[in-house]
Amino acid sequence: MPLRQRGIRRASLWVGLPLLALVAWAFQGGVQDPKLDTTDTQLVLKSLMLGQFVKANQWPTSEGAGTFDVAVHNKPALVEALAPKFAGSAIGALPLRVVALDGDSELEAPRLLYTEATGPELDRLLKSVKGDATLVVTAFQPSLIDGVTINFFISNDGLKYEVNPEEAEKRGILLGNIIMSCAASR
Amino acid sequence: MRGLSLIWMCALGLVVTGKGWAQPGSAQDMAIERAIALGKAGQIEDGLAQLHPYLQAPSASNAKACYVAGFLLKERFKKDALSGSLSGDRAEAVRRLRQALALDAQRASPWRNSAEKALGYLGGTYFDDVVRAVGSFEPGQEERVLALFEAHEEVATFLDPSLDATVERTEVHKNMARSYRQWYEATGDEAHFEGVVAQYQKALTLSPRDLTATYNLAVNIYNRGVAQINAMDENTTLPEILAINESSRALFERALPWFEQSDVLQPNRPETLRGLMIVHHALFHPEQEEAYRVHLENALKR
Repeated sequence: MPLRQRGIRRASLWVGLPLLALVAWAFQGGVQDPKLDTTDTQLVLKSLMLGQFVKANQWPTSEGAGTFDVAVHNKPALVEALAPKFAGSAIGALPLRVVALDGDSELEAPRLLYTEATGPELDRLLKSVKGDATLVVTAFQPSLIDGVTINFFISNDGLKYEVNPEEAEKRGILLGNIIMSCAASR
Repeated sequence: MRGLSLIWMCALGLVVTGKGWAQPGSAQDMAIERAIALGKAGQIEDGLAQLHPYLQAPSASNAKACYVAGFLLKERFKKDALSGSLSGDRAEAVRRLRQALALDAQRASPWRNSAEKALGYLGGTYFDDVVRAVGSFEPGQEERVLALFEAHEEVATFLDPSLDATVERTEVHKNMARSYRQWYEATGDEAHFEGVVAQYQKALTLSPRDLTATYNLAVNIYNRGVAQINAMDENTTLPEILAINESSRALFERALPWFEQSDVLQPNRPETLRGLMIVHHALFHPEQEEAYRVHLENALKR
């Protein structure tokens, strides 16, 4: 083999070896990093806001009630998210309790009712708490409907809420200033 | 030690027996022989001094003097083990060896292989430094890492002009992005998060079709938004919740095009489809979320 060719071959080896090592090292840069965080962000935001809705209002006193119940309709994941947030908390003297409300189960006038139901199911729920001191919170309704005090809606890809203070007043609930001032309108 | 002697013997043998050398017995020949002897005795500075007159404005007839000088400097660099530096003996050794090879216009000198090996070795040490620098990376060291990589690349492309180091350079940026992410996880410093983004974007400027960089960029930005939301608790006020909702939304919107680009680069990849489903969920896009959920289910069935 001519000297020149041997030289090229050897040179290629000396170039190639570090490059092989580089590829091996570079493999580190080729891995998925980091893992995708699969937290349900909608759930976290809703639970945080509901927590504020519970804390920031003036609630009427309730004779005989042993707990301050927050009922969540057909959203077990939200119940799981709320329960630890409310654990050990109280509104006034009443310990906070998160109640899961499934399907057709009967309501016992919770202080806050959260539902994403629509149509007849929502009508049934609203009827069951009509006239009670219950703050009804819905999500993604086209507008605030009768009987609902707070409705979550989406605006510019973000979660907002609208309020109906008259509805709250009818139920004897005084919405906190912070809730009023942070509310959005459509 | 034996290895070192062997290298010296080889180098000496090549130089002494080489054709194309200045005429035997010339002053330059004598100087080169003395330089080699001094180098073997560990008196590298004295050896270099012997060669000094022939290195001022070297021409083809001084090619071997350049080679021996480069070799001596390389040996001193090895002995002193001062890695990480862009100047000093290593840089000077590279310069002299390149000079020697460039002056060897016929490309037939017997010392040529040895010079190329020496140069390849030095280029490899720059590469080792890049790996070390990334391994112990601290924010703000990007320029140094890149300078070391460029030193390696220069040597490699000198030895093989057809070499394209774009992929390797991309990997350097991706590795720095990973380092920045580790820093960000440890410090929570926003500047470190932007370092992650900047390094992945530089990688993508070089290699726009790099799926890993595209997907990792998307995930890093998305996760930053989730982290903001997860940092809230029951003590977070309503105005704070709404403000964080806005800033996280901005991050989700920033991540979305990179997830979409990942899907373009490799359609039907489950990880990407899951990312698209999740980011649309975070952005309250129920229809798109559902569409990607179905798409993901189909992809997983394949």
